Amino acid sequence: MRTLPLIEVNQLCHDYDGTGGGIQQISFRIFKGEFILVAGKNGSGKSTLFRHLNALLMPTTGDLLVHGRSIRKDPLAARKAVGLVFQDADTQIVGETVADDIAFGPENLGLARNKIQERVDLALDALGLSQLRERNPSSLSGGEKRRLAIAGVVAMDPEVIVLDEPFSNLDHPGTLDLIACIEKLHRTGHTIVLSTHDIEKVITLATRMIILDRGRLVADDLPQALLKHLEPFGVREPCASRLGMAVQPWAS
Amino acid sequence: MTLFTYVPSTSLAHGLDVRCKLCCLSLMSIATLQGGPVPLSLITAMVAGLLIATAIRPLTLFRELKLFFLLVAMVFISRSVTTGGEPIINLWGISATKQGIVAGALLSWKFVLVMLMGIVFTKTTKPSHVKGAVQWFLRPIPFVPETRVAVMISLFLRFMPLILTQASEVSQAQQARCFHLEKNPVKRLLRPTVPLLKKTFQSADQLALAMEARSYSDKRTDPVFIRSGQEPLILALCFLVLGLSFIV
Repeated sequence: MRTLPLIEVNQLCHDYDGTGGGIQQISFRIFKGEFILVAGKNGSGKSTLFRHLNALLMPTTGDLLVHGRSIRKDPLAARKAVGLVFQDADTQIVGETVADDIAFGPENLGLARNKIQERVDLALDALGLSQLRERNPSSLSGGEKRRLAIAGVVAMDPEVIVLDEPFSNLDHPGTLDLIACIEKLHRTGHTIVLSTHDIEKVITLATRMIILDRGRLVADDLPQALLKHLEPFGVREPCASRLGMAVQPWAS
Repeated sequence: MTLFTYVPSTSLAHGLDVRCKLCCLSLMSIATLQGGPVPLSLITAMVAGLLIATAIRPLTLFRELKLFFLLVAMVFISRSVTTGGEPIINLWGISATKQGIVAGALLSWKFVLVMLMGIVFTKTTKPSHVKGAVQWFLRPIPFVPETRVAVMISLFLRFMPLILTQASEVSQAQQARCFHLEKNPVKRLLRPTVPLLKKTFQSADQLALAMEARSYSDKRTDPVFIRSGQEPLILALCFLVLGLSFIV
């Protein structure tokens, strides 16, 4: 029997300028332990949806409940439960050293200094950044910056981690490292919601897939069930699937 | 610039409470600007000791500060030729006086000392600790939002290199399209400035969102200060040197 949903999205609409853009009538639920892959072409509404999950944007109509509480009434609870990692790591790293940046979120939550230290150590370890704790973030590689951005969110101990296009502008080793970290976070009990254009990288990890098109949710099913129906929505079908083979995992 | 970045170590200066270091820096700066050769020699010995402890190579120091040394040389020359007194060198009708050379050397010595003290401070102090100290010093001042000021300092330190990188990228992208051939000075100024400002504002917008996503508020955990126990002794020594600078 399935437990209560962590997040419940009910008829969510967000209209930026009164012309009907943004997202429209989106409804779905997120359960503990899921790995949800969100796909769709540019402008399909993925980032807008993600910003609602973290209560950065408020619905124009409809509602979004985190643990049964509306984000309108308790946005801080939504931010504690849902960690959002943005596409551009450079503009979300605020600390002068790796450890300082990871401590930024727990400091905002007003935690005691020893608790913050504990959270920083755990996040550094989880993302494989322990050796870089005193490094200046501007000297890190693209993949390391992306892992730092995730560590900053992990240190806030959220149940759900939302990653907006985490693989953009990453080289192959950086991508593999990041996939391994995301897989580890999922294995250790985090619920993952991730958007990407190149679904081949994580489709074998995903337990569910959602496709957005022009601000609407057009498909919500098991990833394997949607593989042959992606291209009309601007999402490339993995090469192996096109050739009639099983898609291989990127991370071991 | 590598000279002004924090380098972790276990030296005496690294272990001192940042608030003590800021006080010492202020006292020594006053003593340097106020004092004559005796206190300056004392301060030089102290700064040299700290520089050796932080393991900065003299060659690296000179290379990184070559423009500063050029400025110091200009100050020295200017003082030497504009101060009245007994002329000892005469070149192309310009005389350098004995009094001018002494005054120029003293002033240059002071400038170099203040710069070296700044380097010792930045090399031995984490920017987050400076932020914490600023917050602590501002707290008693009414109507000053000390947490916000501290975060602004932190963001400035963090984003300055990013803005410089973006400026370099914009400049290179425009040079790749032969912008360096443009003769109009207004266009030369505006063309790189507009995209850079646009990028900077976009980054600021994304930064604000990212901070909000991480629950940023003014009610944050207070910074902690770690003491080595040497602070009273070091402060006393700095006060002694400051006193000497007014006497000798």
